[in-house]
Amino acid sequence: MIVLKTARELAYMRDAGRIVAETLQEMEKAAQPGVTTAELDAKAEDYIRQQGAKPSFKGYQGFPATICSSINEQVVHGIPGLRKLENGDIISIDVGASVNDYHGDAAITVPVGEIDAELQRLLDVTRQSLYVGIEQARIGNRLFDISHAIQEYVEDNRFSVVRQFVGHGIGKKMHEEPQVPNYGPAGRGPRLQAGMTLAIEPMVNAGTWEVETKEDQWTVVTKDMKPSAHFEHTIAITDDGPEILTRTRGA
Amino acid sequence: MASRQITPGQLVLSRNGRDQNRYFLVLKILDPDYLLIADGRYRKVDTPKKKKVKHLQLTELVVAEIGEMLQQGKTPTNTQVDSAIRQLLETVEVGL
Repeated sequence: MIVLKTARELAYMRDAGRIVAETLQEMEKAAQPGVTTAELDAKAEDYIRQQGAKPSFKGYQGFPATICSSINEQVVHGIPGLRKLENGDIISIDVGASVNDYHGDAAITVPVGEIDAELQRLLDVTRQSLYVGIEQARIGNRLFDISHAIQEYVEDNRFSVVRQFVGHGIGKKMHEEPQVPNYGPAGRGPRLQAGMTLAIEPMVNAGTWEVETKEDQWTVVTKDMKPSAHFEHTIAITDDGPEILTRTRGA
Repeated sequence: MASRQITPGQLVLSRNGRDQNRYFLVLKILDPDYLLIADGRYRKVDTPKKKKVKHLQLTELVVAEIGEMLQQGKTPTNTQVDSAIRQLLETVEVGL
């Protein structure tokens, strides 16, 4: 069942989304060579709690941290630790926070120091594919119109989209129906309605789309060990088109 | 945080309950929290187990033929499910 949100619920999600976006802004500034992912995690948790919100990921199905930090060939769900960021790395940071039990969820991939041009192109294409997908999140369209637009944009740019992990509905639970794949045929899936809230999150690989999960049962890496990027927003479908909930005030 | 895609025909490992440490295939997704699973042996396809997703370890392996059958509304036989699971476990190292 896809839960349609009321105006009040959307207001909570907007608050949660703003806090997530601000946290990511802090993360982007802090992701410098020499910093450990555990330090980033601590900073994110402090910020979220200072705002009166709760980290959504900590304890979620046993995940131990506030952020997922995934470096280079790591796709998603990397667990923060003592690894130090190095010049030339890319790091995907995924953050969730809840206000009055309503969740916001977003991710960015940022360069650490100077990165090479092809890595920068991977980041640019992934970010842009998210916006291409969001553009399809309109009343009357079907869910897979979002998926298809993302896949087409990514593959036109000679990268691949991850299949085994997908976006999701979001609200009072972090993972709600429907699943939002980043691939698939246009014109299929549930019809989009006002009040639906979705976390759209292309995970884009430089090489093969295939991924595998490491022994820690969380960290997902590309099978060919080539780099991967991840951008995500929580959005609401409204009468006026898609509204990005995970954005900073005035953005 | 991305959601792990669950599809019919996917191999899962039970982590909690009487059937702990047994492998099953997903027959049906009831909602994001509950699945119907069977292994054709301990749990037959006509009496599948309703299982909470959080009590399962999902793998990335999917038996394509069985997934397609299920999506066309057909039910695989117990033998098909059982031998598909055995074949998967013999031929690949299951990444969890």
